[in-house]
Amino acid sequence: MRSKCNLWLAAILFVAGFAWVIHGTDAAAQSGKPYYEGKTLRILVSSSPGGGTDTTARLVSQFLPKYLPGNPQTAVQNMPGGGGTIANNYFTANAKNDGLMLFQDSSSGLGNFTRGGKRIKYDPRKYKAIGSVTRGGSLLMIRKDAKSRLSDPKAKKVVVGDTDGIRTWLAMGVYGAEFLGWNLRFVYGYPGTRELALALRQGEVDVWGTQSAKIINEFLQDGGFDVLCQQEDERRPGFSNVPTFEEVLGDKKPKGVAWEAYNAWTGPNDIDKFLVAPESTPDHLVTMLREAFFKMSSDEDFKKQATQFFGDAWRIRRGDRTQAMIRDATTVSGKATEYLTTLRKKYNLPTGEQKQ
Amino acid sequence: MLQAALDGLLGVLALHSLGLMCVGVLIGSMVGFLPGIGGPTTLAIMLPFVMTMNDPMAVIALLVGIDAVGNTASAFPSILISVPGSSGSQATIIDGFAMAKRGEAARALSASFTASLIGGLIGPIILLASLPFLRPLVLAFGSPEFFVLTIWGLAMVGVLSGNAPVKGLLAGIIGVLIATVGLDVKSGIERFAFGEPYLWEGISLILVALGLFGVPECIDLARRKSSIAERQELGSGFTQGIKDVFLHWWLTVRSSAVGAWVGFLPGLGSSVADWFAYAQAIQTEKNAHLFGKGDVRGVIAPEAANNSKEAGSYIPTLAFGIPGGTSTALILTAFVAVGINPGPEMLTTGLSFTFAVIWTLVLANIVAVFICMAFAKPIAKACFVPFYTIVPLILVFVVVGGFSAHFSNTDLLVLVAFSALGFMMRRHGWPRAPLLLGVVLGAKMELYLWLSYTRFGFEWLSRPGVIILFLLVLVSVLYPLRRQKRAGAAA
Repeated sequence: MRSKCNLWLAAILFVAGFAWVIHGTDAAAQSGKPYYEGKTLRILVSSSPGGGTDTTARLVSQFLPKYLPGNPQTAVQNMPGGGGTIANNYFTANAKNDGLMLFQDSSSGLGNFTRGGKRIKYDPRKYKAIGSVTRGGSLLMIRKDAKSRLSDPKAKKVVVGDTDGIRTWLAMGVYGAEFLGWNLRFVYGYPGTRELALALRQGEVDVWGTQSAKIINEFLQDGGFDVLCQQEDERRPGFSNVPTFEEVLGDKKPKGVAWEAYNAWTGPNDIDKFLVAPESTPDHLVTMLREAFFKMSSDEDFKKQATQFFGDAWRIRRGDRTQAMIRDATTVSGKATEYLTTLRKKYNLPTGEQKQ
Repeated sequence: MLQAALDGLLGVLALHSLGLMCVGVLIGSMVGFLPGIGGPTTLAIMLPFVMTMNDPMAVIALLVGIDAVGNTASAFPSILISVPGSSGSQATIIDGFAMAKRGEAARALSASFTASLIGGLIGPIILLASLPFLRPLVLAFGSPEFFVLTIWGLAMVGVLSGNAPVKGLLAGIIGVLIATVGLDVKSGIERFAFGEPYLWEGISLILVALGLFGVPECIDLARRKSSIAERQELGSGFTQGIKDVFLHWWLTVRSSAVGAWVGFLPGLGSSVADWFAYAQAIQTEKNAHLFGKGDVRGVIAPEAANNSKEAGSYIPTLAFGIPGGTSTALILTAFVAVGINPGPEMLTTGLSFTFAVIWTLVLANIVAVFICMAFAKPIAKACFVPFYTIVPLILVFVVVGGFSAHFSNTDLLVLVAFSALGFMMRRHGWPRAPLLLGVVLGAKMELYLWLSYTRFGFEWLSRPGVIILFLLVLVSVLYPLRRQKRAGAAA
């Protein structure tokens, strides 16, 4: 008898809960309150907690609501793997255009798209960019004890470590090996920044690149590490003694399709960490989000924390500019793509379509 | 150093920090009590709030307070309803729930909390003692060593299989296969996902654990038409549980050391410590055949380990700024935001912060155990509630916990599938723990094998650390066999 009562009670509770959800949705739509009031803005992140992309997402999740009408709650969800492919595919397949789910991605997601392949089920050119945070060009670090082997082809190969074999900074290594004869071998598959940082300290890898001034300074303070070169056209503030990769290449700098391919690989680096809304998000919501993102960049607390995390070189880009840059960075000629595929095969790096 | 220790203590004992630590302990305990809502989720929710705080000591008190105690209260659901409260208390189910069924829930809970307290105190002591060796300790483990550690973990399948070694082995293999579902994190290639976006992320560990253990026990309760406990009395178990921990003090110390050790290895993850401790208990304790049948030592070992593990995971975090797990990764983000810079300076100019972490770990554990002990007796009475009330309640816990994996309806389908699997395994005498262990370790094993081979070729097999660890694996597999043989001969 009592068990029957409990079943009835459960059924009544279920129906009541269902009715409450339906009523709640309807009531919110009809009221004239600010769009984000009482809502939760979910930010999907394409990396694991602790890295640069995750930190950016958490900064944005902290400050963006302050400038959105209705000051929503925020929730950050990490979905690492496949150099951002898993999260990109998921976002494309599942995110609704209601402005309640945004996606924090990095240059890797763009690089993977350019590389192509059956597993790429997203098109970053279709996203509505909300804005981006750039931290300055990547710097290539090397263990001091491996430096002498770099230009000695008879020595044991210097090991370059990466997560997915697609990172923009990796282009410096591959082009260094191809055009400067650097004695390198590439190992990818490390889950994230923290594992790579540990591997570099342990000597499991000898070379690693990152845009994070904070991480690089920690390594330099430790001793035992040098910065080989940097990716930007101009030297970064704080690293003015480190040559750019173009300076290192000197007269060995390749021309024609080879250099076009290099720029295609490293182009997304300029965009760095970008926040997007789904493809069909209405214009008024995109405008609202873009304005909030840009206002956030003037927030003194945001500036303070961003400097704490990224060093002095960080800057914010507006959504429309970010959108244009994503389009440019992902529009690559067939010849350049073919050249990169050949080069990547040569150095045992994943090549996208050919892997399927 | 003494001055830094004093500064750290005073910082944590400041009224504001102490209050926040107590809030953190309450939050952490509640989160541990509710299955599915893990510590990382709570820390992620707290992050925007703490990043605006200006007092680093207060941030340490709050976040470390939350993090330190999540595994203490998680023993409640693990022991009482066979549902893991957190990923670090899965192994507790095996003997804890068996004790609850025997009417010894109060004893299991008090033993669990006392072991948690001891583990929570030994962990910080190990952290303190390892301060001078932090860096060489962490640097000693590379991908090949991590791979052998995962093998070591999987070797436990043998000890978790009881008297069904073949079934246990097969269950372990199925677990490893389940861990391969999803997009390969190295290349993004789809495996066993059948084009389903839901499966790209892989199958959530929490769904596997809830399905394998939670629902089959409910079905069993409903079938038996009784309460969880077969005897309707709490008895004198509560004080006995406390005594048990001191009676098995050496096991408690060993398990705490195992926990701290697993915690400090950034790469093994939080869900491994309790299994390692449980396995070493079976491998080293006398009368090992009693494990799995409601032996209090099967509660003490994992519970001591999962609390000391938290202190261990701060070792790489503080020494290098390399977080030992997801929780410490989030805490690290908050630390940097408020001006604490983990790394070498934590042993010099930031030493008072390091001590603040240590003191918070100690104090938070004491407060959490006090709270849990206060509630242990009334909550243990859940074991006497009739099946028609407790089964729907457990199912609500299971469904809510399962739904929190991705907040997707598909979570519930996966939960149903693993519940059916768990039920069939239980019914046909297949050990379920090896399958869970396979899921826990499978992905890590594959990753570290890949990295070891691509980085070192076959040279990784000749690394001294690898050889030593392989020998330890061998000893840990052969020693119990030898002991079993001797016991058989003596009998």
